[in-house]
Amino acid sequence: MPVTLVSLDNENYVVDKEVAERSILIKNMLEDVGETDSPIPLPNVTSTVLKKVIEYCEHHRNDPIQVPDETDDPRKRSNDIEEWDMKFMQVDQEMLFEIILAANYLDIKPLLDVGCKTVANIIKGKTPEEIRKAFNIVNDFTPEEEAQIRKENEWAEDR
Amino acid sequence: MSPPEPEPEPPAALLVPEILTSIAQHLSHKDFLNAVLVSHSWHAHLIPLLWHTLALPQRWRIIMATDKVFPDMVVFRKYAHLVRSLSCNNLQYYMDYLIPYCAKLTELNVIDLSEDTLPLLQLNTQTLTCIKFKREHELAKRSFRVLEFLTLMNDCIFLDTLRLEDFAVDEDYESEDAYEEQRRRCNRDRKRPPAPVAPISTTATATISAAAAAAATVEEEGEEEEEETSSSPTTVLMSQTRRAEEKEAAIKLFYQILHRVTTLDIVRNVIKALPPNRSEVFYRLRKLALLDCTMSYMDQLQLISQCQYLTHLRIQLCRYSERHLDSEELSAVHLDVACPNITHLDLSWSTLKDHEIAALLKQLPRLISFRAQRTNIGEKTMDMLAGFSSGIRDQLEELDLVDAREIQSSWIQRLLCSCAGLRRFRATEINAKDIIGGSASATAALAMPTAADTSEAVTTGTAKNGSMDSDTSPMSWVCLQLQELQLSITGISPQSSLQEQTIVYDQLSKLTQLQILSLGGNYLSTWFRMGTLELSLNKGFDRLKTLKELRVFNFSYMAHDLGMSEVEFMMQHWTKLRKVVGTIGINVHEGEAGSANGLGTTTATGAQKKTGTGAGTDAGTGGCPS
Repeated sequence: MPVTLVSLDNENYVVDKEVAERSILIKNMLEDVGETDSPIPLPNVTSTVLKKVIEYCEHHRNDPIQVPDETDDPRKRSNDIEEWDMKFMQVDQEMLFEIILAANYLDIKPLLDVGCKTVANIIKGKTPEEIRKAFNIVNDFTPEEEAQIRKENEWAEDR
Repeated sequence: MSPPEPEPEPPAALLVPEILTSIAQHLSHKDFLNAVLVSHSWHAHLIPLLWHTLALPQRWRIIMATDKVFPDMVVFRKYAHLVRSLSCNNLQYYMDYLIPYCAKLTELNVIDLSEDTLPLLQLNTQTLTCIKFKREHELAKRSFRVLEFLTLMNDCIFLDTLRLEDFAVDEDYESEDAYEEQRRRCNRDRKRPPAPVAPISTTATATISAAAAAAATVEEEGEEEEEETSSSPTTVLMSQTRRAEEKEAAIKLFYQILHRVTTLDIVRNVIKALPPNRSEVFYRLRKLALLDCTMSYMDQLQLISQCQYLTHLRIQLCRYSERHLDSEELSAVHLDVACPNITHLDLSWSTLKDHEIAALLKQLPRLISFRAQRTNIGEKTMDMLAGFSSGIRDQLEELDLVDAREIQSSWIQRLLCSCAGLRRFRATEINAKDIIGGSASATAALAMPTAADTSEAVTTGTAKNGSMDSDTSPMSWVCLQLQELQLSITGISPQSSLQEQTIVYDQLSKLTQLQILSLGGNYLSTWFRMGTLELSLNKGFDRLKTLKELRVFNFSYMAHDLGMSEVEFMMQHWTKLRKVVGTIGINVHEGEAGSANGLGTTTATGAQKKTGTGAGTDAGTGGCPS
């Protein structure tokens, strides 16, 4: 059964239910409402982004539901990206963050993960100043504060 | 703290804390420390991840290290409240760091447990969900304040996972003298000022549960008496009674705690007594491991039968610890375990007999994972696993029979030809003849070509195998969903090796879901080097190009080294490869280790190019220390 999704700019997209249900938000919504023909408004997602998200969900429509990563340490996650996902994520930075926001809002964990891994790859090898530059972040540390934090983390450097 | 408004704004996504932490989770340690320095808000959101899991370094590392391996006390105290999972030893040296700052632990792992841990445990009873305590084995016979530990553990209301090693809940201490000496020392310790310790023991006794209350009171009285120690017979008698009561209270408390946890590991000397009430059922317990326990064989089985809702059972029943029972008597033991929900069974290193294992399997209709390293697998067990009447044959997803004592090569072939649902299979060795024989009979009427024209034999062999795919003949491998295969293929004879190897490689090439392929032996079994597959493209290695999912390839301890063209082949066809273990014989270098390192970097860059991600720390683990 197809489902109609409506973007912020009022574009309608008709997709299969199993594709739409890659989004946990939509899945829960459909479960609550039951069988319905009425379109689902997604007021936080523009049509360009929604198109992209649907492309991802179409490609991954048959993936098994992801089992949550059970590692206790929140910092020991793998950094592998599937080839298709790699290509899918080759977009400009603005789009990349739009996709991440949409994945977060729509609750599509695997897409969010791929997006975050891609950003992690951008950060890779950069100095703090280069990271700031890459994302337009203003340095709000005084030199003393920065030195202090460096000192505080000295012990962790070659863990 | 509102972020300042710069001209080009930072992406909105990076202002969402969950997204920021989610990105940071994928950073390497070095990149992470740089990210922390980006801005106040990044620092605030990321620093908890740095402190979440902390392993206190060994004392000698701090003393010997030239670099700073541990934060100074001021820094530690500032951030200690962020620590959730703590592993430690030599706790006594860290008291001033930890107490009272480290008070939100969910996981505590102490590998040289002593009374020093009590205050830390006390501090975290409201948050701990996982406790792992290991006492040093040599100390297991010495008394320690087990009742206080149990009382505090019983106060951990969210406790879910418990692992105890040599915790000695109900140990009869070596000798009266040693025990008394120990007690006196404990008392002295308790009276000594170290601030956190003293209040704890009183609180512990105050909050002691009803079960232990009686014993505790006796204990207090006992202590007073001990002050004016005399070895009069009445005192000895008193202390004996008191100890008996303490022991009873400890046992009671231990089983009370068991009602709360879902995962329990007990290793060696933890408890010998069974629950006071034999009809008591531990409803919550799902995963139980009894490893090399001092509890008697029969009692271990009794305890298991009181955990009826288990899904995972790991048990290492060792007969040598049962000297008081002769083996005849033991063989009569019925493994009457009434836990029908068990899906994962691990009997590794148990000395159970074949028919006992088979009887056990018979009672586990939902089994999907069976591990039995170094066990006595025989025909009866084989029938339970792969026989036509086996109820679990098609549902088994994992089998681990590494170093099973009497397992025969043909049985391994039979398992691979019968268990269609297998995802992970590990065993020591299979003779290529069994695989070839299997394929040959699968290709039915056509006999194995023995002609000298090997190239023809290869092509026909391939064609036949291809045509057999749809056939359900029991003699070709049916486990096509296999994701992990660990198996040394041996017995390749030098004479007809080409066609034999091609058939073997053909069989392997059908396992297109493989992520881990380990054809090598381990360092204990270097004799497997004899007659292993030749890893060269013109011997059939090229057929493995179908293994598109392969991530780990282990070929250590094989007779044949990998050449450069094979390395190139691997990089071209196995795009997901992340780890290679083995020796490469690249012509340029003579030294094995050096060339293996060469591959390490090659693979790493290959992966990098293909996926754009770092190949990770484990890429290219090369070389073998033979």
